[in-house]
Amino acid sequence: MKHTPAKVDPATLSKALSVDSLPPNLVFIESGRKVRCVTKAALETASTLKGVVTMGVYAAKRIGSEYYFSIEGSQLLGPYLKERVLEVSAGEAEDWMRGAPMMRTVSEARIVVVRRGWLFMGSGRVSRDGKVYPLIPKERMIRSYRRVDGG
Amino acid sequence: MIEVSEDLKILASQLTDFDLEAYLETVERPLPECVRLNTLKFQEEDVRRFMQGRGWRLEPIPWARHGYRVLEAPAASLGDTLEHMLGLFYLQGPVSMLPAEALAPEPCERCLDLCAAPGSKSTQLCQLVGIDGVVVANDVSKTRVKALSFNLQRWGAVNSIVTLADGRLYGRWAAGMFSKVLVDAPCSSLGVASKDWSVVRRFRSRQSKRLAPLQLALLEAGYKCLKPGGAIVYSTCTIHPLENEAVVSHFLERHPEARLEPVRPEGLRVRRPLEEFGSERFNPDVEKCFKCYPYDNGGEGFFIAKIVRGE
Repeated sequence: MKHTPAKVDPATLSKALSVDSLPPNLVFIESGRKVRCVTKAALETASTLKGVVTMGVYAAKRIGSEYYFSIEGSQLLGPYLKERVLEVSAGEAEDWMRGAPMMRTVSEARIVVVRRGWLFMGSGRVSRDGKVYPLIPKERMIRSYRRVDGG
Repeated sequence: MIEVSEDLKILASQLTDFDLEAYLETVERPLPECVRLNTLKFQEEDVRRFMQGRGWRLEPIPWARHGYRVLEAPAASLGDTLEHMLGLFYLQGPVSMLPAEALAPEPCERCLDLCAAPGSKSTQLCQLVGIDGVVVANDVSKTRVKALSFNLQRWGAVNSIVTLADGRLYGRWAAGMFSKVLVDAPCSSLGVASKDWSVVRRFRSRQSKRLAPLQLALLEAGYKCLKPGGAIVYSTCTIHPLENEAVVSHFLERHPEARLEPVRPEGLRVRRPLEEFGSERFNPDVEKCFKCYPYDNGGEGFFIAKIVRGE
């Protein structure tokens, strides 16, 4: 392992992530720039096992002083977010998951979280050209072309 | 036309209840498209309504909670949809949902999936034990562990742990630690030949003879990891009795305290396990196991045994 994982203080992390609070029964662990999220019970079990590769899910990554969320991180923490949330239409959601940037006017924030109703879809980086670029790994993007007949 | 190995033809002639022609006809067709909805991250009703709004038509699978047959979908490739990428469902064969269901883990329980990659059954266990339970998903291959971690991530499995280890050694350091264990053992895969026809062409009997001791060792290791009164499910996706009935029969000989529980799912045609094969006569309790050939239910062929650890 490159970095020694360490439990993150919930108050510090909530502030850094701009969330009201963190989900109960979950522990956040920071290793290098990555934050993983795991249940208390799983963390306790892992301490007794050999050959542990990962536990829980990768939730967020730090870039400078800001954090961006993985898709799962946004789904876990999105409901607790106070700001930086962009609501998108059905068509935009599809395009977003294909990796297409969105044209939006966003004040101040450089990292935003995108959602369609209750469904959070990861983070995006707001560029100087006014576009929001998805921060979604390639293997989680839809590969097929969009149908042009409106279907 | 699928090319059939000589050894498979011989095996077919030895299995009195097996119809090679019906088998080939079934495996020539793709498996029915089925999904399991994610109840770990979302509410099932929300997911179902969302998918229906986008043109999906789903029909519940009677033997698998959260499992659905896909009658209509908005895209040709179900894996290349927004819903799949966001982890709303897992693509899984209909009968393959049965081993985890047969294990029936309770919420809050600690489960072990000894041969977990690529993770379909681990993700299913994660949702069945819920957020207060724990699932340890182990695999022996570094490459396959990557796929396993990826799928557990997509599933949002905050209650999971991935380990990389030889499952046969697990009993040494995790003895008596789990209330439920799943051993979905590596096998000759004749029950899922629809996914890869080369299985039918390449099948050799010596492969099954070689796999059987490994399967038994994995079952032994998984059993050691159980608490007294805990349950283990041993499953394979093959039809060969040496990898199925024989493994369970040998195990029962070594463990008179172990008890087999019947596996009789609703809505699936169940076949009676063999009483003997070649010169070997199996433990009569083996009849409690679940067995089906691919053409029985138009899905995969599976063998499932549920064993409860004695005090």
